[in-house]
Amino acid sequence: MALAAMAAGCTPKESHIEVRPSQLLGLWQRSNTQEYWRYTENATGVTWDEADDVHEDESNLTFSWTLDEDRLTHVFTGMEGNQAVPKVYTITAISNTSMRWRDDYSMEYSFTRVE
Amino acid sequence: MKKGWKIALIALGSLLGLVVVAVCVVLWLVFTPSQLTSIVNNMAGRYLDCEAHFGKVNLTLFKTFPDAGLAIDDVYVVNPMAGAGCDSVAHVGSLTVGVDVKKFLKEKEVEVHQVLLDDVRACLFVDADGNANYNVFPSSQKDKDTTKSGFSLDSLPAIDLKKIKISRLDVDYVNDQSHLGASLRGMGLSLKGHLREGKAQVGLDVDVDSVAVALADSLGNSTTAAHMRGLQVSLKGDGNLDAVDGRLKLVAAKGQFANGGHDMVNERLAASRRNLLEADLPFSADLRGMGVRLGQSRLRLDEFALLAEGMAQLATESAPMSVDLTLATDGKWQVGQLLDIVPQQFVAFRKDMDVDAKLRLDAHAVGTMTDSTMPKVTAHVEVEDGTLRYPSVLPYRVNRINADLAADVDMSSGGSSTLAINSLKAHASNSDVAVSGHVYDLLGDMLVDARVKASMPLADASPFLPDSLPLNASGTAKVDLNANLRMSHLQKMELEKIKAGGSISLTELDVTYDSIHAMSPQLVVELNLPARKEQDKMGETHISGSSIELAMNGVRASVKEPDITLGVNNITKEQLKASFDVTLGNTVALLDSNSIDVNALMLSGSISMDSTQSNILRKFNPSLDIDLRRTQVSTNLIAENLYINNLDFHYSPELCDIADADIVLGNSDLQLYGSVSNLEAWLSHEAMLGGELNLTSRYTDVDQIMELVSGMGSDKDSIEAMREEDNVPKEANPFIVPKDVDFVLHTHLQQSLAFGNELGDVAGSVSVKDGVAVLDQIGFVCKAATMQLTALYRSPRPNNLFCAIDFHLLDIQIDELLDMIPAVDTLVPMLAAFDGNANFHLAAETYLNAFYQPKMSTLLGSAAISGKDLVVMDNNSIAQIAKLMQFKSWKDKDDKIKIDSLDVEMTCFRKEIEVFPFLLNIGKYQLCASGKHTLDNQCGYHVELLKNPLMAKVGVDVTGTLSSPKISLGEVRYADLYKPSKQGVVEKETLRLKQMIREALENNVR
Repeated sequence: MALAAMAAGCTPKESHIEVRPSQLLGLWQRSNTQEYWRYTENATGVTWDEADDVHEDESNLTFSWTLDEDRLTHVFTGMEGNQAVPKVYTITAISNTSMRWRDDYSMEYSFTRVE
Repeated sequence: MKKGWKIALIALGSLLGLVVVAVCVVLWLVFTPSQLTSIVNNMAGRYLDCEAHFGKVNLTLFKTFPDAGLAIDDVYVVNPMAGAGCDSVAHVGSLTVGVDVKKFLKEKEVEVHQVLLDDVRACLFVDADGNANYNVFPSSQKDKDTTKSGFSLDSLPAIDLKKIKISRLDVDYVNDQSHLGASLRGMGLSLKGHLREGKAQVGLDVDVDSVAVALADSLGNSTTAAHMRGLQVSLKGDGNLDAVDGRLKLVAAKGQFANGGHDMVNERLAASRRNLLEADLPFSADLRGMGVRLGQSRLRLDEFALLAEGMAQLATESAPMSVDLTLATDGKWQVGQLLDIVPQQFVAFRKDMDVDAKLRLDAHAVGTMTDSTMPKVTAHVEVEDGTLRYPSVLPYRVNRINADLAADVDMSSGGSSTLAINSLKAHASNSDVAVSGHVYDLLGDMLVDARVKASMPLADASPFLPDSLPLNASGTAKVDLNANLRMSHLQKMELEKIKAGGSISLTELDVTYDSIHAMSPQLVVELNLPARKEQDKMGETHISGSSIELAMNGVRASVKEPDITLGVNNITKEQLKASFDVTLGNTVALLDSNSIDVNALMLSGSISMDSTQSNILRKFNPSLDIDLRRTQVSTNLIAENLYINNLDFHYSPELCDIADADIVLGNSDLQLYGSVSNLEAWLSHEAMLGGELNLTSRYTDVDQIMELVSGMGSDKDSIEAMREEDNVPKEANPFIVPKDVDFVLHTHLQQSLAFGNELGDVAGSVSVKDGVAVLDQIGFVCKAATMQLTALYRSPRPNNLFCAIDFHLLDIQIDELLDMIPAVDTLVPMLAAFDGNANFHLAAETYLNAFYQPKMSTLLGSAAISGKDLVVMDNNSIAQIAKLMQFKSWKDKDDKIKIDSLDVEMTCFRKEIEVFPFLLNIGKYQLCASGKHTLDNQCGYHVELLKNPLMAKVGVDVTGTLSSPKISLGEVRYADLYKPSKQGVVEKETLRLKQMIREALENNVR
């Protein structure tokens, strides 16, 4: 059992895709939701969910983002600026109209470009 | 015999008649008219310096019987002068002189008994140099002066004038030197009298058809003119120059008199059917001493008769002029009719005034007249049924004027004059006024000491108020005021020098002033100037009554049994500036369904009114010291009862300084001190209401207070509109943070209830600024831990409430924490697996809906937990993990799983809680765990064995739901995480993020 476990620890890593930051810029809507993500050129962005009666100008979820190959890191500081909440995802697919992420726990997120 | 006597007497009579006839014939033959005329004409030259002509002279016996008479017709005295209207000085149609024949025959003395003139015309003239055309007597006749010293009636021979009569006398007189002209028409004169042994008795009757006199100035302009018609004068006198008793009666039927171009007899008087002037003056005179005493005399102008009695003494060398005279109206004069006959120039005030009354006057003047003294006058005036209509001043006709006045007037230098108002009553519209008292120093700076009693509807006073004054009043006032004041003090508004007092009883009072409306069924206002109770105050007012209803700016109040004492320091004329002390006791005020029950209120301060301001504080500029005791407040504005045990504060336009406030609000007792600023500007929406208060409390129900102050400072309508726009359910009652407010509250609460938790020893600051509430490092102790909380709350929309917290829990007992804040179990579900004390640091923010439910899409949080010597609670999941990892002997002897230390960083993003990799040292085993779960119960955790006796690396995945997890072997992820030499990019980044989370949290700790 332990050996099996050790063997499992040697599983080859997945291949990465090339993602350019400019591909992220713009407004994305998460599929089947009213959740929006906007990426801007100064490596900042904001997300909000209109299903909760919150609009872009009201959102407290502003963030800074970095892209390391396909690894997209968001750091949310909150409206009061007293937090650092990182959210890290791996971009598994991106095009002009759609994008997919996956987190380290295999949860998938898909988006379509709005702007 | 009889027949013989009869015959004898007839014969004797016939003989005497014959003798008389014979004498007459002889006289007629001796003194023929031609001879007499010649004699008289010749004699005239001896007595006259001018030409004179006597037409026909006859002797007469019958005309002057029993005196012998000389009758002369057509007497002319001619003395032409340049400028005179005629050459003749006089023409007498008939002149008869009767002489006592017996005296002439016995004593050879000529005693004139009768002088009869008829049809006399005189033309008298004095030129500019004073030469008179009637100055026709020789100088020896001119120099007689009966007034020179030593003259006495005793020195005159006896005179017995039985009859002097002038019929039809016409005179024209012109004096160019004094610019005087006069004419006399139709004068008849009858004079009888005699002088014997220095005593004279005279009876004179004069009738004049008309007499006119005119006086002009040097340029010939008329200055004074008089024209009397139907003049009758009757004078009787008996005595000598030292003492003469007599009676003068005078009647002027009609007349005109003008002076300075003004007619003194107006049309109304001229048209009267009564005689213009009548006088009946019985007198005793001392002509030599120039004194006269009037008996009961009567003077009457038209129908107005004046009774006079007394004496007048002209000035002599030894004594000044003096009078002692009593005057009284004969009955009551009708003032209106009297004024009707007064020349227009003297009653110009009647142009828009109509006044009438019955007037009775009694006056007594006594004293001397010198440069420094005047007679003292005592007068008593009674006015009855007076009326006054004076539209330009009085909006109402004043009637029923009745007065009883007495005046003592002393116009002498240094004299004092007084008016006694025994009673003065008047009625106007529906008002009655009565005045009594005295006015001293009447002719100087009057000192009024009077009592005014009035009963008046307040509406009667409205027309007296300026149109610009927004005041309307109704009700009835009964006034009873006393005043002792000098007019100069009143004019200068030197109120501190005025003494006044009394009461005003108001019933059914209804007053509207600007936006203030007051009503009272019964109110008594007592005034005292200066103050009696508060002796350092200029004046005081005491107001008491059954109740007062007030409405101001939409707020209504009902004050039951008010008992108000108001002391006033100063009121200036230029601007209403007043300082005052108000003491209220046992007063209940109602505002709609709200009430204030004041046990005691002491208010002192000042106001300075500026009516141009709309802001009520700027309009009154109050500066107040208020001490409020034991006051119960029940108001819709605050759902809970408010009891003010004590409130002591000072208010000025700049600052409201609360020295001490001891308040019970709902379940909370609050002791406050501090200051509130910008109240004035805040009301004008120019600035935020500022304040810094210190609050201590034995018990505070924070939840209740939050509910009470929710939305304060925001317009209710706008909140309702926002609720409607936000689709906020009626059941929801979110706390709306007051706007336009900048308050800091430093608190120290011994016990409190907040969000359903009993907290102890809460200390810190609470600030509210323009819609944002901040709890700044509030420290408190609960049964679980010592805590410090910083929280921020905003309410931009009722359905979008923002809340952020920074929460430090030190030395927390984990099970108590989870009991106190169940949400922590949701955020950190594995925490329930531990027992012991830990430090917990949480920062989170989210929007809430109107029911305070988090909007999960906005939830952002981070937390750090650190603990030592914790015990892991045994459960199935842990047992399964331990089994998979083949733990052996990992429990202590007491069968507990103990861990040395725990340091966990986690984040919360929307519905995801992510636990970053952390180490657990359990005995000889070292584990690393991480993962995430969602608030909808899905999980994905990973536990990895890093150290064990076998040096095996085992990973376990926990998936599925938290309530029913699926535990299975998984890949090894963190073998190199805590081995710096072997860390890759991902490992380094993971640790960096962990460090970043913790540092951000630690940066919040101050």
